[in-house]
Amino acid sequence: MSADRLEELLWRRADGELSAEQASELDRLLGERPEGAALAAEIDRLVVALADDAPETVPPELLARLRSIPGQRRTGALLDFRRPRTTEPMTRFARRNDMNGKQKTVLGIAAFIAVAVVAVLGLYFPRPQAADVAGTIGGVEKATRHQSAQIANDDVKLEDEAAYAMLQNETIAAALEDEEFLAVISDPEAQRILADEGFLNFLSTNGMAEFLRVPMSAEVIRDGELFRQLSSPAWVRMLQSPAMMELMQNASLRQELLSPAFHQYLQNPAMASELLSPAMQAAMTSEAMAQMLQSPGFVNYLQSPGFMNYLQSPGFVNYLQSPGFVNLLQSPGFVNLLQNSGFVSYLQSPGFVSYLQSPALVRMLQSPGFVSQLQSPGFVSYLQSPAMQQAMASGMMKQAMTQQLASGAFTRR
Amino acid sequence: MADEDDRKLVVAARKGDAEAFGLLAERHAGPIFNLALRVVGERDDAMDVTQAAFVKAWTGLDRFDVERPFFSWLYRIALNEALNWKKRSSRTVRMPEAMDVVSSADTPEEALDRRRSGARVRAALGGLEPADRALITLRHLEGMGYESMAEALEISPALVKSRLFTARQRLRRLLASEVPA
Repeated sequence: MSADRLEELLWRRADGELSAEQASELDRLLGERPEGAALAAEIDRLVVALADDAPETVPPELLARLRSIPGQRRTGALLDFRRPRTTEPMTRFARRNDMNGKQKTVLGIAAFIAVAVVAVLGLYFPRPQAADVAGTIGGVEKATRHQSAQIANDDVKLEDEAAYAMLQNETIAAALEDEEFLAVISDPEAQRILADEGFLNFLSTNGMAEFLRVPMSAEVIRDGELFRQLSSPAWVRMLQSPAMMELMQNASLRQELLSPAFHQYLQNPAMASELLSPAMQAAMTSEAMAQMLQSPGFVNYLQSPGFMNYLQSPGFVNYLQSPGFVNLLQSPGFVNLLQNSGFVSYLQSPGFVSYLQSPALVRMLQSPGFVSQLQSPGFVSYLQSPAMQQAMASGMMKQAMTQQLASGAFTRR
Repeated sequence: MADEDDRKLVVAARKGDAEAFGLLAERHAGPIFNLALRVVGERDDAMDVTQAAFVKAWTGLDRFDVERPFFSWLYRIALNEALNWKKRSSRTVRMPEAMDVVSSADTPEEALDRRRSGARVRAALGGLEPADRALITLRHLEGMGYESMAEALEISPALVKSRLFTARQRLRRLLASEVPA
């Protein structure tokens, strides 16, 4: 008779499921096994402790959300997506004063993808503002971001004209005819996300409408797998953040999104594959990312002249696929470094941008030793020292650093 | 009878009666929210999971067999939702702080012991696999019998017993392996 049998019978007794025969067997085993009494006492204590774990009351706001679900079905019209498509011309939408559910959904999907793309760019050159992001990176514990107020209806005004104009985009209309695409978005999880009030508000930003006028956006939208990957609740929460709302209102950044270079960048198959990797997904939805998106310096950097060219270089794409890349992005040292305004300014200098495209850097970035060195405590302390911080803001230092990087000095031990 | 009341509400909700769906939500949000909380560990996440489960229930009402218990069906949806959520998030679960469960009859020493014991158990629960945690939640927090658990999990009662036993063993071993405070 195994010890497991004794434990099994003790749990059955705790459950009140012990038959008379099993009760006799238990008594016998308890008499035979010296450890039996201690085990019985341990299980009894555990049962009491589990029973003491009192249920929590339902938060009133949750109840309100649950009660509103039937209303969302009607107004959000997410379930209407599979209805036969009408033959009404899209231009008719523009004459209506209020957006219907289908329009909102189209905007939603498109916005989702558009913002995802922006966030990907943000990931590569992050710059958090708060020092306290260290320790939350990697998502071990969630911070209090959900406790901040959601975007209210009045916070964002619907950009009707831009939105309606976007809806006349032929490629988006074509996407709505695509069976595979319709199947993806009729998934209940996708519907739930797209019906979210905060998310719908987010869609009405000007940046979304502009981005969606680009033919390429519809191609991205129709990639069902991409949409599925990006439909995680963590993404939706990020999209609803005030920082993201603000970012998408940035006119210069919107222009960048509309550039041919950016389109080409998105169409790179290696890039798409990397974007869908679990590690990248985790990094993009991390707390650190939320902080980065609030940084004006980071937004400026995205708009720097050489950045788009760099994104398209084969070396950069290869680097993204290196094992240490995501680790590096999430390391506290790297995040802290990007808080330094001097360093960000250095990143934007013409010299550095040109250096980014050099074969030497590409080789270096692919070296596990270099990545490992960047993450080492010694290197991080060096970068964070007051003298280094001051030096980084100076033009001379920028020049020196460029030379050092070019010579591979940092890769030598 | 609760099941009969549920049945009437489901039938009304199917016809578009939002009020009926609201009543169903009020009746069942508690256990669903607590299940989600035990599986995902964070209140905000648990709220999202609960909402997702009710959305799925609402969108799937037409497919639901009204002759079967609504709660078991809803519970199964919520459990799947919570487990999927966990799979996606892959975060370490930090179990929520429990409410004060100390009895007024306890001496101060007993009260302290109970608090410590509760904290240890919650921490150990957080270290279990989500599926194991769900089983223990169903049995000990919700007080479900094997049959109801089998229905909610869509497995046989025999399998429930076997898996529950394994989950409890793991929990006990986790508690035994930790250094006492």
